[in-house]
Amino acid sequence: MTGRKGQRWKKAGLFLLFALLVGGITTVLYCFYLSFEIEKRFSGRRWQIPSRVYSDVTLLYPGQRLNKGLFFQKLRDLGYREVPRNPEMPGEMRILPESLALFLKDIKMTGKKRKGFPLLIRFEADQIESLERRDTGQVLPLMEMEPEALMLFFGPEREQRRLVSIDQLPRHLIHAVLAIEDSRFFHHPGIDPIGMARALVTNLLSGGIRQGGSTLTQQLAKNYFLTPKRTFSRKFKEMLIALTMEALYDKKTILEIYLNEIYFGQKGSVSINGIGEAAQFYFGKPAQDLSLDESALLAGLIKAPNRYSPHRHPQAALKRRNRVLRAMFKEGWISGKQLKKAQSLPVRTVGVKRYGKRAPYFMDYVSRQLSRLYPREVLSGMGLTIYTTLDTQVQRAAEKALAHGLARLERRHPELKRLNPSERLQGAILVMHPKTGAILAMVGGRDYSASQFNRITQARRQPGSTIKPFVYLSALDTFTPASLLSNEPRTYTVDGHFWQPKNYKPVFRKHLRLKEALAQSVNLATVDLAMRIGLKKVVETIHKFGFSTPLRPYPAVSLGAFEVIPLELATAYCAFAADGVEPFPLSLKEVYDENGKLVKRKYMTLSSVIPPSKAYLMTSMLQYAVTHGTGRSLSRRGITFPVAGKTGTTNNYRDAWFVGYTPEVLALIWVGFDDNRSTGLTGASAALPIWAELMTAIKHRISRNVFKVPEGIVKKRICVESGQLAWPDICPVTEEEVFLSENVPKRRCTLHGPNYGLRIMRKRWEKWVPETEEGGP
Amino acid sequence: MPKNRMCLVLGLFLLFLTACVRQVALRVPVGHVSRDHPAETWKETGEGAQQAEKAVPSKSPGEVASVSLMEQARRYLDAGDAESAIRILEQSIALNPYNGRGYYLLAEAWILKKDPKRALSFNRMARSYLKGDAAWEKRIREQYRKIKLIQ
Repeated sequence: MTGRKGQRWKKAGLFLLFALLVGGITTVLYCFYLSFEIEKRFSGRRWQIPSRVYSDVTLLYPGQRLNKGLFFQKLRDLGYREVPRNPEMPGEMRILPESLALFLKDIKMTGKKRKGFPLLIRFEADQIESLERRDTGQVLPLMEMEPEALMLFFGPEREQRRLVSIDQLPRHLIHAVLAIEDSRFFHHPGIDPIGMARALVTNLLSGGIRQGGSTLTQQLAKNYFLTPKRTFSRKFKEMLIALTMEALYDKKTILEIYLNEIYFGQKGSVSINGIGEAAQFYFGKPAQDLSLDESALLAGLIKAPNRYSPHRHPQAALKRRNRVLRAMFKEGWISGKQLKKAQSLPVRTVGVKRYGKRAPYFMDYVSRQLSRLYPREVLSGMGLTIYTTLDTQVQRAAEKALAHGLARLERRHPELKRLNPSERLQGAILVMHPKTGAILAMVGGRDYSASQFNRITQARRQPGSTIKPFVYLSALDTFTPASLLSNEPRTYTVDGHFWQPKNYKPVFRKHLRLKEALAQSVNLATVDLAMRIGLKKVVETIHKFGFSTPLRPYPAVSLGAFEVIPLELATAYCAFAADGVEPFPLSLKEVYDENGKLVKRKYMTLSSVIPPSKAYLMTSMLQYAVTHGTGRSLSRRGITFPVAGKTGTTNNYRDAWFVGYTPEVLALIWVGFDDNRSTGLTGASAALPIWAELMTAIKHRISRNVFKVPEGIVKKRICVESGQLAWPDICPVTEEEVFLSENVPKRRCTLHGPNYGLRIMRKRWEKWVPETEEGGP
Repeated sequence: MPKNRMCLVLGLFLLFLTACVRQVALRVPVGHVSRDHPAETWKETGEGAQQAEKAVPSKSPGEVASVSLMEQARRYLDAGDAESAIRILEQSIALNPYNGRGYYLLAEAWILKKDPKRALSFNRMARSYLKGDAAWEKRIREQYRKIKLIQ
């Protein structure tokens, strides 16, 4: 009996041993398999990092005029927080009536790295008086503000994170996380039986799940390889993975991966992952700058980021933070004094800024260019840093000017109001640097949420009179600004049809000087000029400026009766402002990979289309157009610095344009309906006021410098009646005019002359004599 | 003829005589109206125009900042870092589009990057803005020869 029993026990023991052996071998094999899986996952790309798009940097220098409202808003957008004392930490600022004290943030760009420092900007009215380092007292000639983040290219998982190295993180942050999540992290092999037992006892005593027994490694294993489903087999797998991970990697590496992986809450539809992103999201600062209380708050979030969110539940967040602080004290990682001080601090976070698109039309334009360079998955996963040309102050001013301008038009002309958002009066603005070609701002429509159609890059609209400068330019070899043009009505035959152009408003003079005809935008004189120089030449000139839209040599071409893309029109005008050099429009500047290596760069590219002298002549005539022509209302709208520009109105008032520029900035404004309905508005009444509002707002871009006179330009005094060289002190009304040195009028005024005084006297005498006879006694 | 009419004719006659004398002596007739009286006479050549520009005494704040950037760029160029120099010089030109020296340095940076086409386009711009400055014209000519060598 006993023998049988003993044999049975022996068999059971053997079976158990066999089962354990098989189980052990299976476990070892499974762990072996897991090690491959873990290595595969960790040796490859651990995270999908969305690419970030930034604006251009902003330069500040003494003497620069500023729109303080725009500038302070920019600082807020950059994450600078107002404090009631002198700033002590990066990202703080204090606005005073005549100065601004701020602690600059670090700039970490390739080719430009700068450690943040305290700066004092003194103002004199709307100008920067001085820039001074508050720490050293050094007066700075120039200062660069960091670029603004504009957009992120998310992948389908919509995760956002900024990677941090564990070596950069403050010790108190690591201690805070360990204290609340896994205080024995550095003492267990991946699973913590003591911690598990403690959690079991706590949970049994409380009658519910109050404490989890998972180590950091287990949490990481769960996040990386398993589903959140709570089953025994999943828990077993989690432990095996944790053990394998610990066997493969050292504690520091595991902790670093954990801190970069863990979920810290939600920003709209985007999840905030990793301590680096969480530090920026909740406190607007890099993780390495987190204070003790901030570190404790973030560590407390790990358990339930939404329940302890300082944005939504500040009281719960405060309690949780203090619990973390107490745990740190208990572990001996902070002193009683530190605990007391940190616990007394309120919860201070930065406001939530959604990852909404800033400058959405511009971003669409940039995205299209990027998609030609990189596939979608690279943009959403490779963590590229993309710098653009956008000036956020100009963009904000442009958006505001367009919104104001269109609302003002609807108020004054209620017939323009439409209830349907897709039928509303539309407008678009493009601002460029005429020399570098940098796109400073782009507003492709009134409301991006209602219509994503970009009226700057995608629309094809008739340019109307804004094309006239190119007609006049075509004539400059033979005509001069003083040449007389006919303003008499004529009928032209086009493809067997009669065409009779008309002036927009009556001009009673039979002849006008070329400069006057352009300034007043006189249609009859323009068509006369185009016919005299030949339509072929006009079309050639327009093509030379890079217009891609089809164009046929009809007389109406000279009045802008064909379609153009607004971006191309603005770029063509750049050549007038930039001494005949047409730049390539730039929106994308530099692309860096996640290691900060430059992978793509777009450079300033110039293409000479006309000689500088001709460009200057056109600028001179377009300056006259804003001082004496259709743009003359600019002066009473606060434009008191040198500008050149041209209004444009198309047939039946479908489009209203204004393109104007200074030596440093060019802006194009378009107003109209998408479906080509008439607005009843001219360029001068609809587009020009928007241009003026924009230009007065972007003070930092306006130098008030004059257009410099290039070689090949001469000045002569002309008789305004004949357009010929004036007889000194004979011609009754004269004016100084600029000419190309190779095309100066040679003839003196034939209308007046040396004997003009005699002729006048004779005329007066003849007039007077009969009067005398009649009036005799 | 009434007495006052006689006086008027006499007055006009005297005025006419004075005008004739002026016209003969100075070729300056009556009735001149000028819309704008320039304080200084323009030299009627392109060179004159350049000289008039050079007479502008002080630099605008943007121009001063542009020079400061140019100095930074020059240091990058001296260190052989053409990329950084180009980045700074493009900023310098944005502040002062008439910055001839900036274009010269941009051409230098593109020579360093062995891109003669771009170097030439900036050399041309420098030539246009620094015309009349003998020392710079010489440098620009030398730079042009350098570009031709790498072409």
